[in-house]
Amino acid sequence: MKARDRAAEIVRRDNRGKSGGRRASRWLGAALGLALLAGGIWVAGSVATRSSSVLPLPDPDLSHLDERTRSLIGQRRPALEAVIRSRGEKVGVISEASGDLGKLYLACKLTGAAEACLMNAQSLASGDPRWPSCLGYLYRTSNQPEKAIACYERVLRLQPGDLAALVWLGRLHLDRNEPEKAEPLFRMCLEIQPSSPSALYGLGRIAMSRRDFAAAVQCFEKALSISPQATIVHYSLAIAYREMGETGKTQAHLALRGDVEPYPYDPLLEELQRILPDPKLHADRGIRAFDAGRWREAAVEFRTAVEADPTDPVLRVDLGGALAKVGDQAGAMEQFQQALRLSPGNARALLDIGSLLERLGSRSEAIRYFRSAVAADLSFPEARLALADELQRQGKYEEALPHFRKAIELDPRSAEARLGEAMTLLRLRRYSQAKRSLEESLGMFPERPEFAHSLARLLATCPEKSLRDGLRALKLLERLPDPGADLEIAQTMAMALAEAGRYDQAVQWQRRCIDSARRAGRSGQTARMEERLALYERAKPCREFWSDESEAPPSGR
Amino acid sequence: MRLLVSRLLVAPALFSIPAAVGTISCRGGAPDAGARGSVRAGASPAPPFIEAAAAAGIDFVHFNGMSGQHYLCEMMGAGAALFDYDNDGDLDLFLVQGEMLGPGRTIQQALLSPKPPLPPAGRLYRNELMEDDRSRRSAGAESSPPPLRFTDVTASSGIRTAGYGMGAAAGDFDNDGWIDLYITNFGSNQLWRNNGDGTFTDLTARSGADDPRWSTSAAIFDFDRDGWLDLFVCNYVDFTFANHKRCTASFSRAQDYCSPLAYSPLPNRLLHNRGDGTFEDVSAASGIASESGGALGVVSGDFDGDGWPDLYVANDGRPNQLWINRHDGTFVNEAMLAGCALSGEGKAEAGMGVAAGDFDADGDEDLFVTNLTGESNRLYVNDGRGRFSDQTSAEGLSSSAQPYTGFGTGWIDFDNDGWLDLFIANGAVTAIEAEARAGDPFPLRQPRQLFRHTAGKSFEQISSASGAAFSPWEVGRGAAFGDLDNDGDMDIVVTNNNGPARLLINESGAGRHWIGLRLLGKAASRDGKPRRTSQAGRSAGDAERDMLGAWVEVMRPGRPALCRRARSDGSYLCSNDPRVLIGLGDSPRIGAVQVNWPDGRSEEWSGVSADRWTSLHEGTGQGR
Repeated sequence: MKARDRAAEIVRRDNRGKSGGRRASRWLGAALGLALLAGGIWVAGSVATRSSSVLPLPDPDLSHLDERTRSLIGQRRPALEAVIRSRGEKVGVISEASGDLGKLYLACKLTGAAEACLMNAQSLASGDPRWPSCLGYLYRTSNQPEKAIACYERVLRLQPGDLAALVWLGRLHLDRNEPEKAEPLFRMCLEIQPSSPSALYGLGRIAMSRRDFAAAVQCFEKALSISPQATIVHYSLAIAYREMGETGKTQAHLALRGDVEPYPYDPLLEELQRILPDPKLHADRGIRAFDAGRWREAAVEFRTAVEADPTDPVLRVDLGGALAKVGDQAGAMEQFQQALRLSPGNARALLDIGSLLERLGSRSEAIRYFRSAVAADLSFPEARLALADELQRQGKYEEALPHFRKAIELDPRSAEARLGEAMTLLRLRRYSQAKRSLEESLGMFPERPEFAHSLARLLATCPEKSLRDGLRALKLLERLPDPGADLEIAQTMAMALAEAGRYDQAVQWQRRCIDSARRAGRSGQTARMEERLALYERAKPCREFWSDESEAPPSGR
Repeated sequence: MRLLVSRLLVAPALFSIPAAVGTISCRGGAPDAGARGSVRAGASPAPPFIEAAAAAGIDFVHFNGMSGQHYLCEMMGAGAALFDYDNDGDLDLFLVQGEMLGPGRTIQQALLSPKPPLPPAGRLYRNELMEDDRSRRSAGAESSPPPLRFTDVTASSGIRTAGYGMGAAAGDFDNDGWIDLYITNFGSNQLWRNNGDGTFTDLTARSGADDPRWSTSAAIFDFDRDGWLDLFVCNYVDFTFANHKRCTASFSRAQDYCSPLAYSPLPNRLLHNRGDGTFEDVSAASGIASESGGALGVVSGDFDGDGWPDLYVANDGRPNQLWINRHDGTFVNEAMLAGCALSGEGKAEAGMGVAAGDFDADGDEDLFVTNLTGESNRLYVNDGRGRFSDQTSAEGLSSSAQPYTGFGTGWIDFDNDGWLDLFIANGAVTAIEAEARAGDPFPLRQPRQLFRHTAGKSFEQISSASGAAFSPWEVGRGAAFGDLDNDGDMDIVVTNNNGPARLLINESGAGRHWIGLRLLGKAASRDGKPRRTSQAGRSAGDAERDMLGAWVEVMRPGRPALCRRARSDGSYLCSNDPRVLIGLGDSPRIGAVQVNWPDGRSEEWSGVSADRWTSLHEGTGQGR
């Protein structure tokens, strides 16, 4: 028996005992008559409609849809009405028009309207697998698994080798804890297409449910070898390795995990995307991936969203941001510039161009863009912060300070702005103001070690005697998790110990810092560190704060 | 109006106090409180729960302060706390309230007006169960028990909530035997000390327990086992009115609520109780603040079986966290490796509420997390070593949950058959198309759900057969669990966003046996001396409090032991009955009761009676 025939047999077996009336009635659609009823257009069965009641042509509320979408619907609906009115048209044509409108509604997420149109299309052309396939998608994505299963079963009866239907039906059964029904579907899929990652993934999940972890590993590894971009498989693979006691492999695959699923190739999905690509959907996915640090995946999603709506400057800025993260600076710049063309004076785009230029070393050019971003949106805290930060880096402390303060005013919860303000105050030698600022910020962000660390260094090294407090500095540092792990914090610890008069301990800490710096290849810093060591060995405290760029204070950004 | 709540209280003579039990004291001094004399044969045809809030005097209606801006915080609250604030032996109720949202906006600008009393504020309701029962006795009444009745005592309690309320957690922080109240807010939180005389004092500033960020659920547990209850506060995202974003509905271009992913997640806070009325922020030092996820739900428990309390945190849209206690004041997040950070397929889901319980009766605690529409709620089964596997589908909990967004949840054995069932309060977070098109100004309504665990095999949804209490579609958020009428079955308080609080009184457990335990321990005192004396005359040195975190194993002849933990945390934004209620099924026979106290010591009692509430006092059992 050929694979396709066997697929049909599997579905027939599953349906044994179900009502025969549900079977597709090819003759039914062709025998349907048409009628116009008062108050609206109906497609009505004029002969025995034993398995179908034909639904009224829907008239959904489109008021919230954008103009482009409304216009699309505005074209297709009259087309359907016209073919219904035209008595000469064959039912096949009506079915096609009804299905087309249904697909458009489906793409617009008008599920009720889509369902009615697609049901009608199915009734009129019951031998066409496209309509149950569309309905299967509709039910699958609107949390109606029972109906989705019935639709995909119908698709497979009509078209036994439909790979997408095999996988979707298998997944639905798997989600319902019916591995015995899912397994033959995935196996059939593999017979038709031996390199189907989605079928392999399905079989792997079945093996997991049976606690056959070796088999699961085999399936997942193979799926990944065929489709490395299906990053979600890494997670299942990691858990399978965990159960086999292979910790190293577990950790390795956990680190590689992502959100991209091994979807089967589904022409319907492609068509739906072509009809009305949903930029919001892809933008949401992009944001999710971006937030999770999966830049490549984010870039793919944002690009799809941009293709769907090339006129949205926000999407272009998002895409540019993701491209910059994956190192495609040129691509990023192009997107930011496009966003500016679409929306001149777009503060976000100006800011991002500035940030990119800053990263590329064009710092004066960057400042120009930051200033433009601030001017474009006076209440944009990120732009203020970027400008202030770059001014500070360039030693323009007096100019930077009001921008940090404005950024704080706009967003009082911005730890970065608060840190920037404190560091600028230190640079301006306004120590007591800096201390107050750090204390306030520490109270607000007790979990941020930068504030405790900066305050501790100020207390340990401040040139103004009245502000120094070595013991308090030590207390602050001791509360930080593992202060010895960070070279800067460890040095501050030595400074605090010295300020507290515990020079022997300060020497020990400083020596450890020097060793760590050498081991880490930071030999450029060791000279200054050794100078400090010499101070402690002579029982003298350190009076330097952050003195140069090589030993920069925590950045505001 | 009389409340038709059947509480089968019977005469004390039916039950004798076994000598082997250290101390038996029925709550509130009523010796027969909660004792059930006659056990009905067969299952009741009546619905398992009846809704009785209005009849019981709970007239609270949540106000979310919405003005059409779709501020993210307006559709997230609010919770409730069940706790016996007046130590009279029954559970009282605190309900968290919102306020008008938005800079400069007044209540007159609310899209949906608040219900009196105004201005909206959190409200404390005293349960009059024990008082009414005493009155009934003194009047010589022998027949049916009085109806469940609550009195609003907010004014006399001194509790003046400030800010936009989210959740509540109740626990005796100062070990004086009186349960204190912590309220989380979108903004500064509040700690109210119970003075022991029916009043509370705001200790927020003095205690250092505040958190100015957007806090949600909180857990009260003794993480360092020093005898003082510590506090874990979930923080959500950095949404502010200033950084509010405009998002649109999925089915239209109309404004809708944003995903939390539109904002940055905030780190959580762990506050160590110093035992002197103040807390030390150990979020950074403990490692807890090292990872942020947008936390909504938290439950404490010993998930890896090492005797130390761990934490499980449900994050919205980001991987959940399993903070394993390293016994030195620090925690490490092992959720990813433990298999409870993501769905079985590896997707981060929108964790909202969370419950921990030994649903499969294998002696460890399994986790249940409620998620978003289109995902599935998630059941993570513990292998006893803190490694979990996603068994949602295998246990029949997958597809039935997909249409709804779950929030408050709990493992409750509602029918007392010995198997833990599940309750879920549902409510959407973005507009539901059909409701929006029907003109509903707040189209987030969904039904609540009840899943029966069928004899340890799998779960079966019985919501539709559960009567009128499960009929209304509301914007469900919190669910607090406790035996409000002390009749030996689990009742539920459901909170609705911008809707009335519901009181679901359990009527179904009456056909089966049960054991109710209050686990009490001596208050710790660092210097061995009383710290303060309440106006009621009790001091910290001789007070007892509920030992949150204690683990109970009830041995049953010829049947597997039943294990439960005393806890008030879990669910969503809520604080639950700290007592332990265990259904015994058709047989009242109990072999022994073993309690593993939070400090690691164990004791055993024999002869504890079924079908009544019993207090087990630390130090009065057989040491193990």
